[in-house]
Amino acid sequence: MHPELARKINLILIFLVAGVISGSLAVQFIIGDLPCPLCILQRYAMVGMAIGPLLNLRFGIRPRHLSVTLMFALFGIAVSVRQVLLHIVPGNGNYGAPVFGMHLYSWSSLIFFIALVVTALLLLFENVWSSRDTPRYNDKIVHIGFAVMILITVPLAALTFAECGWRCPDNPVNYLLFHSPDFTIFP
Amino acid sequence: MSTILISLLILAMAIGWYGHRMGAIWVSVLSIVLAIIWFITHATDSLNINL
Repeated sequence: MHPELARKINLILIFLVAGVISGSLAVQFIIGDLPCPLCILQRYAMVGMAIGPLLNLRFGIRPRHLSVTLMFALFGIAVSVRQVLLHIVPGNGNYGAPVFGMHLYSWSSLIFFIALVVTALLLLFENVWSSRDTPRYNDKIVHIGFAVMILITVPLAALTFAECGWRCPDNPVNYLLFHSPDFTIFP
Repeated sequence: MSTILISLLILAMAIGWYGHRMGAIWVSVLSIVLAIIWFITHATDSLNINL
């Protein structure tokens, strides 16, 4: 695989992550489902998975970048499977409305699993690995990738702060910052 | 705490964009270590689980 093709694949992966997070924001604002603490941790892991491809864009393809993605994918799969198991028994309730037939935590575990497989496949292509440690690239692709992810993550942090403060309630019904006198920034 | 975790990721991205690869990686690792501790100690404590 040509290194430039590999970088373009990484940019596509960043767009996919940004698309998934945009979808969760759409569910939050259109359907009105506020994310629970486990949902927020899944969003966090989803954002973290993009750091590996971002570093690949900036510094060239390196296995240590993909290890960051693997760590976040493993964490995300642990959190999402935990939430699936909470609701897996029929009649035990669920969290939020299903989207395209499955709940968001089920989609999330599927996406983290696919991310694990894709990262493992990318690790197969040794011929695209970069040997230098200094920044290699400073082109348009780099800036598009970083700008997209930062522009989507900053509102995510602000929304999480408005909803939770220091600690989210288990079943949030509104934004604590605007509705609750119990809102605390620190414990 | 979730806000702090997400903010650490923004910081990692900014450091990476600026050009410090290892800074970005170590901030990410710090963030995920905090996330694991948070997940184990706080996000599950009201669920009464047995490990």
